[in-house]
Amino acid sequence: MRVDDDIWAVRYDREASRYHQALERHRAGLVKTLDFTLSPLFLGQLKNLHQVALVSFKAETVAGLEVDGYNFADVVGRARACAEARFVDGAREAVVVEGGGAWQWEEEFQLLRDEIWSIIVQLRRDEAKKVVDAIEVRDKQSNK
Amino acid sequence: MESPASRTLSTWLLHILFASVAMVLRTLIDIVAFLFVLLLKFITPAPVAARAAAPMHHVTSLELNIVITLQTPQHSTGSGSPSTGSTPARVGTPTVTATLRYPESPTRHSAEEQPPRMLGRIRSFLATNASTRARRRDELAVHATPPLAVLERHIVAVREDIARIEDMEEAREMGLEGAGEEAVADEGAVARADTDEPGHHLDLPTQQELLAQFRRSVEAGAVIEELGEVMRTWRSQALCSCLCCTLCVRESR
Repeated sequence: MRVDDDIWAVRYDREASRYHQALERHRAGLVKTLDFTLSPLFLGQLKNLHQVALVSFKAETVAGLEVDGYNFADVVGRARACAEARFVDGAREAVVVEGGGAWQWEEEFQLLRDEIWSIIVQLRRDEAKKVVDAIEVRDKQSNK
Repeated sequence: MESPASRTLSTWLLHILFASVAMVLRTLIDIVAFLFVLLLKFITPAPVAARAAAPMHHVTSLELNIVITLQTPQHSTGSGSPSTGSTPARVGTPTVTATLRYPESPTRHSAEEQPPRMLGRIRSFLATNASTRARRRDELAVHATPPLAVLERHIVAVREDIARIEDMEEAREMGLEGAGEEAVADEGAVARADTDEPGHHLDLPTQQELLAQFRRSVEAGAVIEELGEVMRTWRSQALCSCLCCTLCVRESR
């Protein structure tokens, strides 16, 4: 009777899969359309998060550098961590389907990190120039 | 040493023994043959009832049959010769046609002719079938496979969808009671679901308005809090409405 059971199981699966395949096909088309509808919102949200993270990084860095006795590495590192955390939290929250091909935010995150790094390089250059100028001014004052 | 007389006696007794054994074997063979013939006669179908069109004497045997048909002159084929032993015709000059027929297979007529035998066969068949079914049922009970075991994973998903459908229906009823709007027809919802235009899967007007508003906000550069939760809710509701409409249309058919 094991053979009969297998035969009936195969027949049952085949008869049921006929309807199941139609439903799955219908749902797959609907899911595709829904993703097509919602993915612009997701991409726009990522872009806005990118901009907001950059703006917040810049603002926090500038605010930290205006405080007397600041540590450049601490200020920049803290601002960078906050900006990246904000972006990651927002991006993870905006993902509709985990692991979906249309809901990837890692590439945008890498772009954000590259831009933040370029800003950090620029800030470091400005900071080095500022330190050199301060040393030169101090030297001039000491020479006088 | 044995005497010649005793040797002759033993030979004679041996001859008698062989003869008796041969007779017994012959008798057994005859009995078996008789039983076989009886069995064949039992299995041989009964002759078909005479057709109403023409009187017919139907002889059935294991070999070819000889059918003597009495025909009227206007229907005679003239292929036979007058028979001395045939019954006199009722109309016109009788013509006898001798045809050879094979024994006919058991048909509905023969089944109708001998109901006790057919009833016996049917009863034996049913008894055999019932015993087979009972044995199969017992074996199936031993190796029972739940009928829904194959679709268990699909049924879980369908149950989740049905639960979402119920929640969505309750929410829709509450929303419609507040707004005083009519319910969306199932066919219309299916037609919208079949179209590929984006945004038409969100049935509720409030959702479409919210979608347009969110799109404008995103395009303006604003970060919307809890946007993922809202989009997930929209997506699940749209999928549930699609499944609900599909089920409704299928039930209405």
